[in-house]
Amino acid sequence: MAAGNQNKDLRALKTEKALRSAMTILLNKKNFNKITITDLCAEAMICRATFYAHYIDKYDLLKHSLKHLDWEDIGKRNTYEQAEELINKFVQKNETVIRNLLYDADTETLDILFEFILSTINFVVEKGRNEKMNPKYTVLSNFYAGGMLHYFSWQVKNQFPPEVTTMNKYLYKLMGKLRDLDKE
Amino acid sequence: MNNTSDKMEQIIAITNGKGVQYILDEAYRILGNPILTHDMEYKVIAYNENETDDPIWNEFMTTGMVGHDRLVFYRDECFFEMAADAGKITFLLSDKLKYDRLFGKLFTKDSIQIGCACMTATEKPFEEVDPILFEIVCDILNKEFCNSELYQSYGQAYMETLIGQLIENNIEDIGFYIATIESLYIGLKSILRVAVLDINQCNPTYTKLTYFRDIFKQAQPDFKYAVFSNYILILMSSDSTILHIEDLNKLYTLFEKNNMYIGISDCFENLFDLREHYKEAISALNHGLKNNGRQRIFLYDEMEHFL
Repeated sequence: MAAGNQNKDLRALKTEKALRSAMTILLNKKNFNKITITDLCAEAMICRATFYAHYIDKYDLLKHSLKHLDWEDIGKRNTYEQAEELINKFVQKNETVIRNLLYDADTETLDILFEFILSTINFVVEKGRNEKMNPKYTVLSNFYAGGMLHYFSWQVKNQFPPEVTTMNKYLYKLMGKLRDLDKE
Repeated sequence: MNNTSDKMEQIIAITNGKGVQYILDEAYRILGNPILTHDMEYKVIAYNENETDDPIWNEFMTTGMVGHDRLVFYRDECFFEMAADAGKITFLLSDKLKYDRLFGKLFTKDSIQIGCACMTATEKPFEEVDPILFEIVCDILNKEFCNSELYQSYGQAYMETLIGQLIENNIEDIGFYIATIESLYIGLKSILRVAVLDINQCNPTYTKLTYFRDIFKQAQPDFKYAVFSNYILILMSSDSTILHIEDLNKLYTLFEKNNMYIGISDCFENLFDLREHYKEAISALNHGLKNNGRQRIFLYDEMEHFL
């Protein structure tokens, strides 16, 4: 969160919620790299100075907005396979948003998405197994997150080619090899 | 004629040229609630004489300003944020205030905010039309302030102080400054750049920074100008992250005529980053003067790798 007033009263929470909603609305309409602070402020009906009192920039807002998108409940998921399923469902539910985020994405956006996928995987594994990350999980989670992000990215760049269903099966198999490592 | 249109006609009939106090007295008589005007440092400019049990109004009356504790209360209640987000008029309705309030922003000719007008519902509750009528009163007040050389100068001086505070990193708590910083954004497009202008090379007869600042303001009124640390600082804005030199066409003739050099920063959006980009503009100017005397405009983007 940006520097400044950390006093979270109802009004401040409402402003942050309005900005997160504005980001989601705009991401359903256009590419992330085309969204400006002015667009976000106009959509949230706030001024620029207020925006900067809550978030450092649009990337900071994106980080917070991703957590509030449409998610399925984690439930009893605790394996890499289940984390992968959760993220896939998330991508399906928010397909337009993900497409607009990944289209022509810059390094900072890719980093945010990577961190987001990684933290989701770690959260599922840590919470489900009730144990802290160890070196094995760290390697596996990073591979998983990187692989998934770049595959989603490739799909967007190639406008979801028709052979994607077959490719998804290969991806699943490939990930299966990684999942086997988890069982060791 | 009904009561509302009667009031509206009476308000529209308030003439300019008789001073701020006259406008406030007439508006009080018509709208039935007292109004006061204060500057950007919350010091009273003019007010209606009236007796009330409103603690904020009485604080203004006894001290002539708003104290720090009250400002902390305003910040914590996000009143500054509400004022910044609102258009011309803010309706301040809070259970933490004894009476409801209407705030209107006051501007100079150059769209620099110089203060606020505040009507407090101490004598009767606000009616539905009061915000509309109060907005007209604020327009009349704005005309009065625009005609005053004193407030034009105050506006410019206040803006320069604010820019200086941003550059010197003197703003510790953004919460207090949301409304004032927002006033700096008025009239600017989304992408900003800072330019600094070195006038030491020009004819010494005219080396008066404020003189040139005002000349530039006339030539290109879309930008904001300030005198800061022996430079003229220009806050430029555009819709694009790519700098189009044509945007400077109106000023370029003046640079050439007066043998001036200018350094321009990388683009940015957040005014709280002004300090960093001011340094970029200075670096670009100094590097340009040292290494490339033939050009007049030095861009930080172009020489970033050499700095």
